[in-house]
Amino acid sequence: MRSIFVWMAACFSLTALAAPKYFIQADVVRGSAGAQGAVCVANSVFFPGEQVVWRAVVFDLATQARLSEEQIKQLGLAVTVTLENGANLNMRYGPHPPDPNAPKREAFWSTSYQIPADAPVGTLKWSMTAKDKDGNTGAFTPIGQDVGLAVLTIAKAQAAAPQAAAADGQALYGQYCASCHQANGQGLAGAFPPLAGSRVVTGDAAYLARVVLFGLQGPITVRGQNYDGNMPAFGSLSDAQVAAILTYVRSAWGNAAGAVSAATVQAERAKPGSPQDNHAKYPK
Amino acid sequence: MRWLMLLLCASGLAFAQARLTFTPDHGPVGTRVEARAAGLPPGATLEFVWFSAEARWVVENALYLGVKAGETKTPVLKVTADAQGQAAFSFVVPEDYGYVHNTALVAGDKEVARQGFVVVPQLTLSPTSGPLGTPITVKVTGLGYRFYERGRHLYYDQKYTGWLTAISTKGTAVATVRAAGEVGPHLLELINGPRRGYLNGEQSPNYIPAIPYRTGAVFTLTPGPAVLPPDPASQAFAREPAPPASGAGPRLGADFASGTVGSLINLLGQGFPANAPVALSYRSVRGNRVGGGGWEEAEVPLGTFAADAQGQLRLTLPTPDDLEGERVFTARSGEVQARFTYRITPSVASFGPSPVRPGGELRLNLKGTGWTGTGNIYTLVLDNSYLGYACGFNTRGDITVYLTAPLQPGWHYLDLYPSIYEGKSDAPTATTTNDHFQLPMLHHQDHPGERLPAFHLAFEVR
Repeated sequence: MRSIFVWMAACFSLTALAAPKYFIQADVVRGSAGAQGAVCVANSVFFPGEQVVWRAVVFDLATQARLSEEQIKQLGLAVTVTLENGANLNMRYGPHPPDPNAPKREAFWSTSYQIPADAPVGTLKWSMTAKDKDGNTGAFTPIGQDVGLAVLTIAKAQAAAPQAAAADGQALYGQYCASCHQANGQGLAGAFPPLAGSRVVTGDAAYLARVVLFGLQGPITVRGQNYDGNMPAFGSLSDAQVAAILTYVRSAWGNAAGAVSAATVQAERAKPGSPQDNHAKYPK
Repeated sequence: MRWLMLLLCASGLAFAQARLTFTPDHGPVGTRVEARAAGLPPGATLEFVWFSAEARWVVENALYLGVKAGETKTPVLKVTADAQGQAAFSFVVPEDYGYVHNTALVAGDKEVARQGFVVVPQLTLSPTSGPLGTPITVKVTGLGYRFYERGRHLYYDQKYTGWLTAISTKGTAVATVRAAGEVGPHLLELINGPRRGYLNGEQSPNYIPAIPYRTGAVFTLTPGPAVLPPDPASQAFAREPAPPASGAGPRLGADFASGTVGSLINLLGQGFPANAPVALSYRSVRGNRVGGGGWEEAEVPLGTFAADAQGQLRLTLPTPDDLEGERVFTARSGEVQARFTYRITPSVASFGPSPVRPGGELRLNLKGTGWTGTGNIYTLVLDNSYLGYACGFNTRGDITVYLTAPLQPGWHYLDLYPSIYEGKSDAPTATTTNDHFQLPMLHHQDHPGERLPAFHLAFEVR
């Protein structure tokens, strides 16, 4: 499955290390842990909580041949990712997928970095080096870092919604909410509570924002009817999108509460929250 | 390949221990940001540093090579931590390139805390209403310099107009387009992308959620007489006066150091043998980028003239009908020679007719267009819709274009913008389909290589 590295074929570069013996092809993909998008696809911008995965194969510069597992063992080869802040990530060589019965398997080097939730955002340069037991080396530096390309960026996941979307709370409601709460806001009796005429919907905007951001789990009573469901969190929506939805539901179907700003949503997003916490604080 | 990740273990990573947070954490140029830091050395004085780049277009030997950018770290202010190791301060986002900027609190050469700030591109129009032909100033701050961040494409009512860059202007681009179309609202939309609008940017590997891929604004076209552009001749670059020729030996000078084709040059040569013949010539370039023969420099003779009894040569001659750029004039008499550098600048020689019947033929003639990979073409935009480009290298700076007049009666607007014809892509993915070639550079002041004017023309269909 050499093809997965083909796109990087033009991207390897040999650094100024003396007489490199190896060259490396590498890429960066999104790992599954905490993924907020498609996994195992090439990626440059990661969000806190996501996993950065480096993959690499190493070639002998003289023969242009990819090193086999046996050769790697004989050479005592070690491959390391070095980040701009000095951190080193040791790569491991192994077959993927681990299931020996998988129809296609390929062995390559890999390592990962789980971005902490509180990691600072910004760009982060990186490089990769290979070194054998005799001190022979090879190196990979992503093309463009020396001229300002941000090869790896950590960015906040909160979205500045497209302007058109932010302005259309009704469309967003239809996309994200109406399948449960229905287009007319009446919900489905016994399953999904109504939003029309709900005192929670027209009440504290900050609490309502927290319900959308973090979800709600547990028994509640709405307009005299009991519900015991589990509303999922919609924290992946942007502040502007949540604000647009809330503004819509607070003013539709006879509801007459004020608009909700993106700033309100942003402020609530910054606080810890959970479906259980929202249930505990559900207005009695 | 989700299975792959099951094998991988999370690794520790040592970011600076102190915490730095911003409110807000993204915003356009001019945003006031409140910063808080914790975990600093108590009582320490630190420098708050803003990371950016010194970016520039690179053109070497007439070949476009992309952008180079060296990292810069600019101290913004000093911050003193209190006894608990906390500090609060504020700063205003400077007029700078957009997208992600690292910042740090630094003590000496040690980075104590780091945090990024996202500078969001911002679009403004001025004015926001006016009659047909109103010049609309489109200003964008916070454009980036990295490959996928360095331009935004302007669409006028979903028609492609051109792209805006701000490599040489620190992220701020200013363009002028003219109100076109029917009375009523018109959408001007900026979309990110390397070659055209990249329509699913939110799924790009480079997507930064704080930065919308699309930003838009509305211009309302109002009834009223059409606003017409100034005379094309006045849109060419003003002629630059030449410095006086100095020195004791043979020398050659003129009243102007630049001019459009046909504009008069009063040459004065001095220090030549009395009454001797003086051969005058200038150096140009001949060739093209299409035929495969390449190009070469050529000496173009202008004739032989006689020096007077004082060894002076006085001549008035029109600016040669030749390619844009620096042309070195040489006056030679035997072993005696002197040189003078003169720049030919582009101009609109003719355009018309106006009025023209619906579907009639329009003829545009440019003179003094360039020859390099960045200077050899002009792009044409009709009523804010990109038509194509025309090249003047093989025709020695002459571009003649025939257009079909629109069928809709009334005033229409034709804009000519410099562009990048070709070069070596600096796209990180090494694909030539990804580059910025042959696009109208609406912020033409940011054009790489030569400084070239844009031209704004109008014609009436009737």
